[in-house]
Amino acid sequence: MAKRSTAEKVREPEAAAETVEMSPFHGQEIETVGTLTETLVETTKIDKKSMDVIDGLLASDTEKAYQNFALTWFKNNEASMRKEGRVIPAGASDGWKISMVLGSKEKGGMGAMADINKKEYAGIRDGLDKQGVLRTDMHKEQVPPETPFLLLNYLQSSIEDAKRDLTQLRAETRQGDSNAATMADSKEKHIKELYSVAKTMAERAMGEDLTAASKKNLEEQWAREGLASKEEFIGMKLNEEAAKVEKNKNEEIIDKEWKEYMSLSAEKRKNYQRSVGLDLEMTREAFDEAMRGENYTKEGADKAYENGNRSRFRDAIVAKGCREFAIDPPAFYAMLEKGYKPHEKVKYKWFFVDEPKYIIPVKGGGSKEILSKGKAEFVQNILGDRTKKNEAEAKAKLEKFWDSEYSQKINEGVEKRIKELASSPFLAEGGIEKLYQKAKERIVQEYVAGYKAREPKTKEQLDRVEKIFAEKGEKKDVNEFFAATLFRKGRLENMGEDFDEDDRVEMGGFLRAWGIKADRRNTMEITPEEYKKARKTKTGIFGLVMRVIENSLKPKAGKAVRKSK
Amino acid sequence: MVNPILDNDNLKTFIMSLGISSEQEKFLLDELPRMDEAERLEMLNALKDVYILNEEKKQAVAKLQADWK
Repeated sequence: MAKRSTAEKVREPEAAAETVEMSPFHGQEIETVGTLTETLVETTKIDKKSMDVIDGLLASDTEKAYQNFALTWFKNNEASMRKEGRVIPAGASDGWKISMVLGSKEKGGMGAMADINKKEYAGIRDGLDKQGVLRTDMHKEQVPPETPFLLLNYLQSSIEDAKRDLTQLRAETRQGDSNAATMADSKEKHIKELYSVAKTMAERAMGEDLTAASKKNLEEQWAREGLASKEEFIGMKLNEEAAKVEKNKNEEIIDKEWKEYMSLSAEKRKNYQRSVGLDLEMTREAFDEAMRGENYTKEGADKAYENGNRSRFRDAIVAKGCREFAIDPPAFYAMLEKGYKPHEKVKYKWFFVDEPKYIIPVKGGGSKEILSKGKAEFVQNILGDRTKKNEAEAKAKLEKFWDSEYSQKINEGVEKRIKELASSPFLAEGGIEKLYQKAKERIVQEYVAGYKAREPKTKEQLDRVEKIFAEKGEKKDVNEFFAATLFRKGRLENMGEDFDEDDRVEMGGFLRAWGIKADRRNTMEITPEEYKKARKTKTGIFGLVMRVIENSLKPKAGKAVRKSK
Repeated sequence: MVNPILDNDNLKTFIMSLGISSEQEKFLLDELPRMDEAERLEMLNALKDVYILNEEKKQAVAKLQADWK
C-alpha cells in the first residue's frame, strides 16, 4: 500500500459530505440512502393502533408456540419419564404438563427449554424466530420495506386460523354451549380487529385505497352485468316494497284491534260484535275442533286468533268499515290507522246543519268531525297521507337494504383483495417494487430539476463537449464499478477499529483497475483519521469511499463544475 | 482522455439498467451527449443512489421470499 504525506490527504469538499445520506441496512454490505428512507418511512411506518394489535397477536402466538413445544416434548418423552419413575398423574392437564416440561429441575420440572434447539422442534423454533424478527423489525424507527408485507402475510394466516376457530365455536353454540357463544363473540371481535389492521397495513404497503378500489370494481362489475343503480333499483322495487309495508301495517293494526277487543269485558265484546254485525270469534265447535285440548279462555282465544281466527276478525271489521263509509279496504285501513274505532258508532249531528256530521275518533284522543259531503275528501286525504308515508318507509327500507348489500359487497371485495395481497409473494414483491420505484424516481426527479434549472450551454460549449466524448472509450460496466465500490466499502468496514497508519487504503489502484485515470493532484487514499471519523458519520464508510472516488474523478483545477441557478 | 465510466455508451447502458421511468430515462439519454464531464459525474452521483436502491430492493425481496408463510 502506497504511503503519502499528510499534505496529500483527502481534500473533501463540504458539499460532497452531504451528497450520500446513508444508514446501516440489515448490518449487511449495502446501506440505505436518505431519499429512500424518507419515502419509505412514510409508507412502511406502522401506526400505534396496528402495532398494539400485532404486538398482542405475536405475544399470544409466541406463548402458544412455547406451549406447543412443551406439549410436543411431553408427548415425545412421556414413556421415558415414566420409565425413570417420574410420577405423572392420570389425566394430567395441559397446564400441568407445560409447567412440568418448562419448569426448572430445582423446582421438580424437567427444565427442557434448551431442547427447543433440537432438530425435531425446528418447525416450532423457526416460527418463534420469525415472530421475533417481525416484532423487532416493526418496532424499528425505519421499518424495513418488506416488513409490512410479511406482517400482512402473518395476519392473514392468523385470520384464517381464527375463522376456523369461529366456525367451530358457532357449531358448539348451536348445540347449546353458552360458553362457546361468548367465546365466539370475542373471536368475531378479534377477527374484525385483525382485518382492520390488515387493511391498514395493505393500504399503506401497496399505496392503495382498498375501499375505493373495491367500490370501483363493484360498480364496474354491475355495469357490465347490466345491474341497476341504486336509484333504478329503488324505482323498480318501490311499489312492491310499499305494498309489503302496507300489508305489514295492516296486520299490525288488526292485531292491535284484536288486543283491544280482547281487553274488553264479555258484555262489551258482545256489543262490539253486534256493532260489526258479524262473528268475530270462532264458534265453540270450531274452536274445539281447531284447538284440541284448549279451554276457551282469553289465552285460548288468542291462540285461536293466531291459528285461523285472524282472517275472520279482519274480514269482519274491514267489511263493516267499508260498508259504513262506502270505501275500499285501503282507505278503511287508513282510517283505522288514523284512530277510527269499528265498534264505536259514527255519530250524527243534526243541529244547525241540514246534513249529518261524521264524528271520527282520532289517534291520541279527540275526534274529527266532518260533514257528509266532505267525507270523500277526508278519506282521500288520510289515504293519500298513508300512501305517502308507506312509500317513504318503503324507500328508506330499500335504501337501507341497498346500502347494506352494497357495503357488504364492498367489504367482501376488500377482504378478497387483502387475502390476495397477503397470500401472494408475487404481489408483495410488486408492492416492494412500487415502493422502490417511487423512491428511485424521486431521486432522479430531484436531480433532473436541478439540471433543468441551469442555463443552456452555448454552441461553443456544446461543440467542446461533443468533441471530448466523440471517440469511443473502453467498455466498462458502471453497475459493476459500483458493486466493486460497495464490496471495497464492506472490506473496509470489516477492519473495524483496528485501522491504523499501515492500513491506509490507496484507491488509485482500485480506480485504475477500472480504467479511471484519476487526477494525480487529488489524493486517492483513505487515512486512519478519515476512516475513524467516517465510521461515526451518517454517510459511513461508503460515503467516504464514494467521496474519495468522486474527488479523484473531479476535473483538474480550473475546470470548475457549472453551478446551478 | 475521458474516464471510461463517464463514456457515452457506458453511461447509456448504466442509465438503461436502472429501471427508472421511461420518461426519466429518455430525458437522461437525450441530455447525456450534451453533458460535460462534471455534469456526468454529478449525474452518476445521483444515479449511484438509484443503483443502491436496486441492490437494497434485491435484499428486501430475498428476505420476503425467505420469510413468506
